[in-house]
Amino acid sequence: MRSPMAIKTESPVRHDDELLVQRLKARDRSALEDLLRVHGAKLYGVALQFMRNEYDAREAMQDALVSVWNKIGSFEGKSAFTSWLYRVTANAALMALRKKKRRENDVSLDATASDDDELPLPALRLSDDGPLPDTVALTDELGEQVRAAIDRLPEPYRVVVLLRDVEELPMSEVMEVTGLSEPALKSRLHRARLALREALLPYLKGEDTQTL
Amino acid sequence: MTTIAGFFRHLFHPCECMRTKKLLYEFVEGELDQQTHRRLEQHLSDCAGCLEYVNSYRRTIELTHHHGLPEAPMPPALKQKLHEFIQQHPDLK
Repeated sequence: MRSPMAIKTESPVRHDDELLVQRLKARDRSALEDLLRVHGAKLYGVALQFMRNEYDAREAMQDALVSVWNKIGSFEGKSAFTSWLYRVTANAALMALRKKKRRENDVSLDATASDDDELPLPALRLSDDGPLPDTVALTDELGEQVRAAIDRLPEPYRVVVLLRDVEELPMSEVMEVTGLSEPALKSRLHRARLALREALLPYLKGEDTQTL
Repeated sequence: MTTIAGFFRHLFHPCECMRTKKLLYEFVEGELDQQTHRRLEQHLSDCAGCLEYVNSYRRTIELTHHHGLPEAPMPPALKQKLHEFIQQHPDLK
């Protein structure tokens, strides 16, 4: 059961989005420009949170634009266009992240898929080191702390939090894009949430949690 | 906040508290069978420490969803690059 705040109440397709979809389906390339004008900031936020710097976020956004162009025919309007758009961008960002990892010859995103439960939780504790994203809008302190905490999660944990708790992709889709089994995904997500909870505890204690 | 009474109840029900922590994910996601879910709810009504723990877990998920994405405007240089990309990329025809 998702929390009440996590439930999206958007109507399937907003009127202006409907027009945008029609133009994209009609292969009107200027619709991509308008898409960026209307939804660009949000898509940039998605790409930046995955990629952590503007240069890589650009690569992810370019891949997302190509995906939107190629896959718009499969969008049937059953879900909100924005949700579909964010999902496409998140997928593109994840793929770009994997490409980058391969280039860097680093560990696979799935490296700890099978033995998550065996890792001690302190290994996930958030630290003060590690780079922050290039650009983070500091609209409020709590929001800033939440984003900083997510950003400091080890990558495999950050990815599942972004896909599941931020983007709210269905578990089946998160399993598909990460290649994780259901138990491994649940375990990883739970541990990431616990690490975030621990990092945010000073802020949570300031709230009246009894009323939640 | 944990009350003194809640703290002592926590001490007197260690098994139920451990069980709550173990089933936390399934409880919050609504994946428990009805009987186990009710039993956990019953414990939460009696244990302030566990209630606070569960609530803070739920609140973490809410905050993550609500604040998880940076609300940064696209830098002008990026806008320009993406504009050029749309105009020139062979796959976008």
